[in-house]
Amino acid sequence: MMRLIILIMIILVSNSVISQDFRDYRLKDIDNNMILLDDIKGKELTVIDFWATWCKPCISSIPKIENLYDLYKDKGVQFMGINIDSPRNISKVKPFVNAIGISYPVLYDSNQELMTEYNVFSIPTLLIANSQGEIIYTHEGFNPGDEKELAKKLDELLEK
Amino acid sequence: MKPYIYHIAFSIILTYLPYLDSLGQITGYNLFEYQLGNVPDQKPNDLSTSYDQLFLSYKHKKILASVKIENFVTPESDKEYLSLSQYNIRYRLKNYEFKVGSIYDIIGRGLLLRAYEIKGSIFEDPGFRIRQGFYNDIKGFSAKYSGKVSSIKIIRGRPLLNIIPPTFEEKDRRPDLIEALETELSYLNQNFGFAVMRNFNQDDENNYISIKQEGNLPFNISYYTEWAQLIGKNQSFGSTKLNDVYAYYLNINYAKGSFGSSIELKAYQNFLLGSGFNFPPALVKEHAYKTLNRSIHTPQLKDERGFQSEFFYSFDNFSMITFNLTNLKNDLSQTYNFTELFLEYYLPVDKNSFKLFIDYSQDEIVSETDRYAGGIYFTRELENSWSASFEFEYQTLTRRGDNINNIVFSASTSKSNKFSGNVVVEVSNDPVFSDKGSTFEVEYGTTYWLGTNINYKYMSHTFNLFAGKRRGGPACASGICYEILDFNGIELRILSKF
Repeated sequence: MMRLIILIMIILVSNSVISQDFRDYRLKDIDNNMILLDDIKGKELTVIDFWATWCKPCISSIPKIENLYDLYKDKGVQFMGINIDSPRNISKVKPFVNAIGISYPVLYDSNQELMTEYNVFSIPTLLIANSQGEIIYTHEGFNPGDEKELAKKLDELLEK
Repeated sequence: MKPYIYHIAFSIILTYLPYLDSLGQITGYNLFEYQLGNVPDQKPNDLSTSYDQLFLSYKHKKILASVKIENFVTPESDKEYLSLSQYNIRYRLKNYEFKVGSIYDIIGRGLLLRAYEIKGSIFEDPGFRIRQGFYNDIKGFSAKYSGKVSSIKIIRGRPLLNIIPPTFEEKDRRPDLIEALETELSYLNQNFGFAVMRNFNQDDENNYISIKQEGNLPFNISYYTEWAQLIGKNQSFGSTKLNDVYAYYLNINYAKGSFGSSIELKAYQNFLLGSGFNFPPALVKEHAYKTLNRSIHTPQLKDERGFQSEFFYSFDNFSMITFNLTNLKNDLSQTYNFTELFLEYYLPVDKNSFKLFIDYSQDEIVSETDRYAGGIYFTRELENSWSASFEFEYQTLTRRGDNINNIVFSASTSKSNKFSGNVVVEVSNDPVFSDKGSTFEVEYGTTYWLGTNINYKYMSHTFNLFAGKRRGGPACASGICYEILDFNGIELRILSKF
C-alpha cells in the first residue's frame, strides 16, 4: 500500500517538470578538442540531438536535422549533436559524420553524463534549450515528417 | 536500514520537492515495471513481480547530489529487496570536478576500466531471476582536471559485478578495489595519454599500464592507438609471449567528401581483469537488426585478435551504403574463426524510407557456419504526424549439422512524440526451443512468438505495455552483451520524469 502511495505521489509530482542547464558541461568534439557547451550555445535557442551510429531512426533523422540547421542557424539557433556511442563503435563516429555531411558541432558523451543529467532514456532524443540553458522542449524518437513538427516548434519558440 | 524508513524518507522528500526547488534544481525519474507471466520451462509459473527504480538528483550551484533506490517485489521472498543502491555527490568548479559515491568513468577506450549504465534497461540474470538496474558503477571517488592542453584524472573505488544481484552483500558484489591515474597531453593536433592502475582482489594485487596516442594526420586521416599490459610479475614491457597479459587496439579513419572509412585492429590476450571491470572494444560490429544482434560474437578476452573494417558512402539523394568486413581468431583450447560481411543500403524517397541489408557470417565458437541473413525495413510518413513501418528479417544457418531458420516480422504505427504500437511475430525451427531436454533424443519443431507493444506518452510519463510471447537470447547494447530472457505474459512499464 505504501509503495502504491509513493508511486502515485511520484506521478503527481512529475507533472511539474523542472528544467536543467547544460552550459557548464565540457565534452570532446570529433577532433578531440575539449569544448565548453556554453561557448557553442545558440543566442536564442540551442537544439541538442542525442544519437548513435547503430541507431536506425537516428541515421534517418540526421539529414533532416542538418537541413533544419541550415534554415535556422542565422536566426540565433545553434545545433549540437551529442553522440553516445560506446568505445565499441566510437571509431566510426568521425568518418560517419564526415560522410553524411554533418556541419554542426558533434560531441562525444560516451560516459552518458549529459544523457543522465537530462533524463534521456532513448535515442534519438532532441532537446531545445532557451538562452538561459533551460530545456523547454523534448522530442523522443524520429519518424518521417517529424522535421516539420520541429520546424513549427522552433518558429513558435523564436516568436516568444 | 529498515524498509519503512526508506518509505518515510521518500514521502517527506516528495512532499517537499516543490519547496526545495527554490533552493536549487531537483530532477529525477521513476522507472516502474510490472510483470505477470513466465519464463518458459522455468519454475515457478505465473510469477507476478514488480521492479521500481527511483532516481533523485539535486543541483545547487556547483554541487550535484543524487541517489538511486531500487525495489524488487516477488512471491519468492528470498529474492525481494529494497536497496539504496547508489548515492553520489559531484562538485564542479571551472576545470575541476570531484565525485564521491557511485561513479561512471572510463580509461582510454575501456581496455583497463569501464564503468557504465544502460539507461532505462532492467537486467535479469537467468540464474538468479532477480531484476535490477543495468549498470556497473564504481563506488569510491574520482578527481579530474580538464584543461585545454592537459588533463589528469584519479579514480579509487570498488567496481560492481552486476551479475550478482542486490540480495547479496556489497563485499560479494564488489570484490575488486582499483586505484587508477590517467593523464593526457595535447600538442600539435595530437593527444598522448598514459594510465596506471592497481587492482586488489582478495590477496592478489596486479598493476597495469596503458599508453595511448591519437590525433589528426594530413590527408583526412585520424587515428587512435592504445597498448595496455600487466606490469611486474615477470612480464616485460611490450612482451607478447604466450602467457602474457596484454591488449592492443588500433583505429585508423579516413574520410573525404561523401566517403568515410574506419579500420580497427585488436589483439587481446588474458585480458579479463579482476572479476571483470574492463570492457575492451569488441571486435565485431554491433547490429541493431534483431537476427544479427542475437548472433553477435561475444568477446573472448582470453585470446581474441583480428580486424574490423567499415566503409560508408552517402549519395546526393541522402541515400547511404555501408559495408563491413570483419575477421577474427580465438586461440583457446582450439582455434576458432569468425568472419562477417555486411552490406546495408538506406534510401529515402519522398514520404518513404527503405533500409535493406544482407549479411554473411560464420562463428565457429558457437558452431554456426553458413549463416546468411537479409532484411528490409520500410517506413512511410502518413497524415497528421502519423507514420507506419514494416520490418522483415530472415536468417538461415547451420549448427552441428542442423539447418536452422529464423524469421522476424514486425508491423508498427506511431504518432510523433506521442504513441506507438506494434505487433512482432517470430518463427524459428531452432531445436534449442523445441527440444524438451528430458530425453536423449532431440525434438525438432517450429516455435512461434507473437507479441504486441503499445507505447503512450502523456506529459512527462511514458507508458509501455507488452502482451504475448517474446523471444530471448543474446543481445548487445552500448557495447555490452548480455542475455535477454524469453517471456510469456504481460508487462507494464511506466517511466516518469521530473
